Amino acid sequence: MNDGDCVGEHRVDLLWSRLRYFGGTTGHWGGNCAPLDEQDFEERAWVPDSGWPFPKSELDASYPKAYEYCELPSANFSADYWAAQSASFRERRIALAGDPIGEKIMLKSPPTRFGEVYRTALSRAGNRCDVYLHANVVEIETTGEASRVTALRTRGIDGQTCRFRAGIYILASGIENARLLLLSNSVRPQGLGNDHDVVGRYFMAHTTLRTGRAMLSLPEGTASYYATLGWEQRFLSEVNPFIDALQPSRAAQQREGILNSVVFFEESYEGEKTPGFVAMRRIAKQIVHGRMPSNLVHDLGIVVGDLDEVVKALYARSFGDRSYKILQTRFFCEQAPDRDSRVMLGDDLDALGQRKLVLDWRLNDLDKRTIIRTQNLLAEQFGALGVGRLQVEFDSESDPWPKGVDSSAHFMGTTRMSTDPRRGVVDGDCRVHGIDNLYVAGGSVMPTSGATMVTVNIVALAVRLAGHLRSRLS
Amino acid sequence: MNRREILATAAAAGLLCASPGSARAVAAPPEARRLLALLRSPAAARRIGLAYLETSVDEADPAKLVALIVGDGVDRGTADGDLLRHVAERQRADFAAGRTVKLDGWVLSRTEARLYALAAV
Repeated sequence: MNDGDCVGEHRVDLLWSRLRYFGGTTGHWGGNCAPLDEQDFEERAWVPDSGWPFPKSELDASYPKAYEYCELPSANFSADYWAAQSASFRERRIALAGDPIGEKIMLKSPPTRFGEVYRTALSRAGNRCDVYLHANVVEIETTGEASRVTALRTRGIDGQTCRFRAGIYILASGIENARLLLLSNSVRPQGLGNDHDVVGRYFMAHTTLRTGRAMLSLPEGTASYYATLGWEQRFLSEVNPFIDALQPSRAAQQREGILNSVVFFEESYEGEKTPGFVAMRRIAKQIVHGRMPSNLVHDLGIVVGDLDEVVKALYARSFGDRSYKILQTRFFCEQAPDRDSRVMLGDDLDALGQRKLVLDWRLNDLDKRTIIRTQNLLAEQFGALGVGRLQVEFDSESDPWPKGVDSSAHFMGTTRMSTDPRRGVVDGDCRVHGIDNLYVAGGSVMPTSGATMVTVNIVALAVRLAGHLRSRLS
Repeated sequence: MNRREILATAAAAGLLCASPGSARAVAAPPEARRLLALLRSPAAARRIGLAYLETSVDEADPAKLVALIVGDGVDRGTADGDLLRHVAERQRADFAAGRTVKLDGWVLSRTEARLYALAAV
């Protein structure tokens, strides 16, 4: 049911990246957390369709609870604080000037698997909360003029249908929120909340690209403080409780006219970007996920054809041979809101007889410029500090996107927030415009994505929504 | 120019090495010899320098390159250590001011690119 088609230049894996079970995609998230930045909420002249209905200060009150739900080791996101806590980090911390490049600390959740951690509390008697599993919502039913929701119709794989009635309804299912609004078209042919053709539009992800490499004169182990968790580190008993990401300052973003972004380091070995090694990794990834590798024969052919490079890379990684080690830069960027980047309903039907999603993920020139300018800023900063040099691979805005652009499986937008119904699906309270008792929670309401991990921000938005509903119901 | 050449050419902190190397002699001016002595791997520097000169043909003159590399504040009496610090500082200033060139993707300061070019002329 999660599967769908991707059209256009950039593809995402709709099937693997989403989990349709209690707890949702917290079942496989990496656990990195940081709040959005102030500028993420502001209307920036160089970022069309930017700006939230409220400033960051309004969400700040909801973060402490969100950190608690995500089981963070601290609520302190200051690099100076963590340098004071850790002598090892203090010795290895890159002395960035703050402008043009500063630091953004991301704290690590265990990660919290919400379905496991909170299941017991939700099933406890007397908590005024009933959980129904395998009840797939297939339609939102409304009054004749679609101003109020009257029920949610569900259907199980076994064909059994139910109707759930409540005073308030909240959709909290990523890009399925948009799909459900579009599918609920018995009263409004274009779908609910879609009088201005905004539902499904402004799909955003975090544009992620591993490109370029660094030659730095830094103590051994420095990269571990600036890297997201690699697969080999997942087996370590102790990992750093934070990541210190490199981030263009707010002033630099404005000067350069670019989006927000952060940069991580990734240690890899020569040969790991060759087609053979990439094909081998593709096969291994599918096996690890319990799937029969697609295109197995084709991929094996590539591995065999590139065997010397594959063996060299495997040897270097297995024995940690430093002479083959490469420090790669991984850019993780806010995506420019784009009305034409969207999810739609396709013609194919899923197991419940519902039209599947079609995704048209589009990146534009601002997305390209952000990566290219950020890597130049980084190179200049490293040089100015005397730390080292950067080799860039993706160098011109006129060049096509390189292979390997990834979404980080962070799907946002599609029911965006705006005070103007022509520009957004929900208002500042996350209520669907024109429908009195229908709300949306999750990354789909975010008008801009920022350059941070989404989960803790989704939780903060949920805490804020809960506060609003508590006030409304009281 | 690959990573190993870059590594062979330069110490990452400043792309220069304080200990005298085996730079080849150049005709003039005398500061050129001292500048080339700062390079860790003159052979690799020449390859990078040739790439730079392809983009800046008008700088293919040792005297001009020396003047551009050291600027003001250095004379024959300047000690090697001070010369190294002076050039390293000019590199940092280049980066801070955005005076950079890209050679095979490596983002280098104009000063260091000229230093490599000096090894090539």
